[in-house]
Parts: sequence; structure tokens; C-alpha cells
Amino acid sequence: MAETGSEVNVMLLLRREWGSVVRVVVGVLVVLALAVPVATQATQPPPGGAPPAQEEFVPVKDLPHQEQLPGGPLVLAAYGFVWAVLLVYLWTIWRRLGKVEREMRALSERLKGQQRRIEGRM
Amino acid sequence: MFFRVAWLVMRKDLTVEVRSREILYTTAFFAVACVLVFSFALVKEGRPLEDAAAGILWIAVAFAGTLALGRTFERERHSETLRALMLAPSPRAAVYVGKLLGIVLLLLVVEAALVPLIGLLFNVPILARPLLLAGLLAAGTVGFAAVGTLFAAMLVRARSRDVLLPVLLYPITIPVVIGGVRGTAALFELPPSSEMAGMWMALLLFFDVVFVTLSLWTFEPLMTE
Amino acid sequence: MNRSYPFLVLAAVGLFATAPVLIDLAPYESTMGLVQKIFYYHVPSAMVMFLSALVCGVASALYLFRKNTAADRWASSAAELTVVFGLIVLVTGPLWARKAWGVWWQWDARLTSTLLMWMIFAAYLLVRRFGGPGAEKLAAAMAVFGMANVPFVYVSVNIWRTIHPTTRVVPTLAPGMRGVFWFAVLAFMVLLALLLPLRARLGARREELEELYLMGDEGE
Repeated sequence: MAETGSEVNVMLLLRREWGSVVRVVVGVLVVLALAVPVATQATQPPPGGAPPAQEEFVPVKDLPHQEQLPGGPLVLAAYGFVWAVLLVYLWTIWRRLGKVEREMRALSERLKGQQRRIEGRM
Repeated sequence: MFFRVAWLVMRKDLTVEVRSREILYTTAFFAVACVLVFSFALVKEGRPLEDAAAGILWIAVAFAGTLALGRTFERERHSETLRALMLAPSPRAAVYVGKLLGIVLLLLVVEAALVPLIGLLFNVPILARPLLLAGLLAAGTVGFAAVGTLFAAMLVRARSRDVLLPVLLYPITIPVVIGGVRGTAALFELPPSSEMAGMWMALLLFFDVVFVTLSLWTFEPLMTE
Repeated sequence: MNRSYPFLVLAAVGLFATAPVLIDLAPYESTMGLVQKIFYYHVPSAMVMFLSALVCGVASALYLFRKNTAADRWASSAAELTVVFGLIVLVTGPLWARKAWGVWWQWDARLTSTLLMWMIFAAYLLVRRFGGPGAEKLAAAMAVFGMANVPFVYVSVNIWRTIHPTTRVVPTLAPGMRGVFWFAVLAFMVLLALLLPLRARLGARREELEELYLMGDEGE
């Protein structure tokens, strides 16, 4: 249990270091990917001008930096959730109170009616 | 007076149990069945996951303990004997201690059968630190049973007692299960780490003291109608 | 539920209206950036959750030992609020962790024990709802045991090494963050002071209704 924390920290550090390496690799790949069609275009024009189909997927270990999870939506989701929970809770209290009070009014009416009948009989 | 009452209540429970052996046999069988079910879940390609043995041992103890608690108090309810015990002019806390001791003894017998089985099936060194292992099991069992006896006694009158006992018991006793599993896992390692096990043992003892004190303190007002 | 109640409502509305602006103006944290702003409502809700659990435990003990039915009403209200604020803590936490730690959930002492505490109070509500007659006492015992869990949760993060920020973060906050944080704490505390009597009033009304029904039965 105690180790998991430091393990994760090390993982994160490693991931950060890997990130820069991966970014360079991805950059090189992108340049190559752009260069290859240019090179082939010169000899062989594509039919109908359509972009060439991707022939293989290149796996990378990590997402490039600009594609990593942004914090904004998470903050907004958390903030919205707080409001949603509080408002829903307030609404349930209001509804439950309303129900109890309605029932009470109906019951006291009935009780009064009963009392009148008893008094009428006397 | 207090200890005499506790002793008598425990002896009564054990005498009933020794005559029928119903709870002992069913609970022990259930514990073994638990071990098998969880083995299928936690064994991958013939090799158990890390620390699976300790986890399975404590899951079996917790599940079998719940079953034993339910049955013990069902027996009391069936013949209205718990009410008679409560009406007797004796300290109620003593009745609680008696019931607790009876259940702890029963569970310890089940564990005595369970531990060799775990050692056999998972090839773990159960005899490396036998005293520490026995201490961990005893401390964990007392903590679990202390809360369990209190809630099972209260639930005797409740409608859906079968469902409510685990609902109440597990969240409260999870610290005990964590301590038991981590401590036992430290002992099952190669080489066994007495230091880690000792730390978790201290935590278990701390919880035992807290749980037993709270139970003794609340049993009287809780069982008053 | 007395004359100060409308003022409390106004205060809460004012506090909750200004809090987002202040949170937006607060400085960013150096390593976590924007996502650290969840701190301003994650931690205050956790504080309110603990306070509410404490209220529930003390009121339950009073009910058990003094047979005070009003205390039981406050205990059940506090338990419900513990579950509500606990839900906020347990949802905003993972949203923060997803960015800061890269995972939604981490099995460390702080998170596990908070989840455990939330489960204890959720079980309290379950027992009250489905326990039948005598469930109030059962639930009260549950709350007393749950309260015994609170200090354990508080110190757990400082004893075990975890990746959750320790409780030392709060007293050492930078000046730009400190004001905003305590403002948010005040807002949540006022909210608790508002919701607790409101929910207790619901309990009181329900008891009145039950008495009315009994009277009606006797009249017929």
C-alpha cells in the first residue's frame, strides 16, 4: 500500500521524460509522412485528387502534449456536479415537505369533520 | 458476577453447539466453498495473483463469520431465549461478552481448518511465524466478532435481518479486514516480514480496543426496549 | 428554524454567487494548473462532510443514552447531509485525480477510508429506511461506530505514505489562495447551517403527521 504512491510518482516522471522523446519521434514521423506523398506525387498523380489512404497505423507509447487531457472540462464538470447535487437535494427536501404538509392538511380537515359529527350527535 | 455470567452464557452456547454441531459444520463447509470460489476468480494460468492467499483467507473468515453470527442469533430468536437472557437480573454487558466469546471460539475452530487448507492450496509458508499468524487471526476475529455480535443481537427484532447484517457489518469492519489481509500477506511473503506484520497487528489491537469498548458501552441502551 | 433563517439564506446566496468569481481570480497552482481549482470546492465539502458526520455521531449518542427524540431527528438529518456532501467529495476528487495523477481512483489510505465512511453513513440511511420498527437505535449505533472512524480517516493520510495531498497543505496556503479557500469554506458551512435545520424540520413535520394519524385512529 505504501509503495503504490512512490511507484506512481516514478511512473509519472518516466512518462514525462518519455513524453519529450516521443514528441521528437512523432515530429520526425509527421515530417516523413508529409514528405512521402510529396515525393510520390511527383511520379504518380493520385486518381481524382483524393488523399492517399493510410496504409498503416503507427503506434506510439504516449499522446503528444497538445492531445493530452485538458483541465478545463474536468473543473467545469466538477463545478456543475456540485451545483446539480445541491439543487437536486434542495428539490427533494422541498417535495418531501410539501407532501407531508399536504397530507397533514387533509388529515386535520378530516379530524375536524369527525369532531363536528360527534358534537352534533351530543 | 460479571465474568461468571459471561462464562455461563458462553458455556451454554458451546454446549448447544457441541450437541448439534450444526453451525460449526455448515460454517466450515461454507468457508471452504468460499476459498474454492475465490480461487477460481484469482488464479490465472495456474498461478495465484500476488497476495491472493491472504485475501482469500480473510474473505472466507468474514463471510463465514457473518453466517455464524446470523445462525447463532437465529437460534436465540427461535426460542425467545435472548429475551429471557435480557430479563435475567444480570449485567447485560456480561451477556454480550459471553456471546462474543462463543462466536470467537467457533470462528477460531473454523480458521484452524482453513489455514492449513490455504497453505496447501497456495503453497504459502504458514508455519514460518506461527505465533504472529495466530495473533493476527485472533485479533482480527475479535474485532470482527465484537461489532458483529452487537449488530446481530440488535437485528434479532428487525424485519430484514439477513440482509441488514452484512450491510451494517462490512463497512464498519473493513479496517479490520484491511489490517488482517495486509498483515497476513506480509507473513506469506518470502522471506516473511515480521516487522510489517507487527505494525498491522498493532493496528488490529487498536481497533479491537475501540470496537469492544464501544460495543460494551452501547449494548445496554441498545438492547433496552 | 428561527428569525435568523432568512438572513442565512441571503448570506448563502451571496457567498455562492461570489465564490466562482473569486475562484476564477485565484492564482494557478504551479504543477497542476487549472485543475487544482477543484480544490476550492472539494476540500470545503470534505470539511462539511466530516462536521456533519460528527454532528450525526454526537446526536446519535445523545439519542442512545438520553432517549432524546429531537437528537434522533438531528442525527438522521446530519446523516443525509453527510451522504450528500460525501457524494460531492467522491465525485470531484476523481475528476481532479484524472488530470493530476492520470487515474480516476487510487487505492490509498485517504481515498479508501473516505469511501468507507461514506458507505457507513449510506448504510445508516438504508437501515433507517428498511429496518422496520426499532431501526432508529440500530442506525444510532451505526453512527457512533462511524464517528469512531472519523479521526482514523483524518490522520490516515499523515501516517501512511499516500499521493493524496496532506492536511498540511491548508495551513501553508499562499496568500492569494488562502482567502479564496476560507471564503469557500465559509460558504459551505453556511450551507450546512441552512440545510441541517431544514431537513430536521421535515423530520419534525413527519412526526407530527404520525401523531395526527394516531389521534385520528383514536377518534374513530
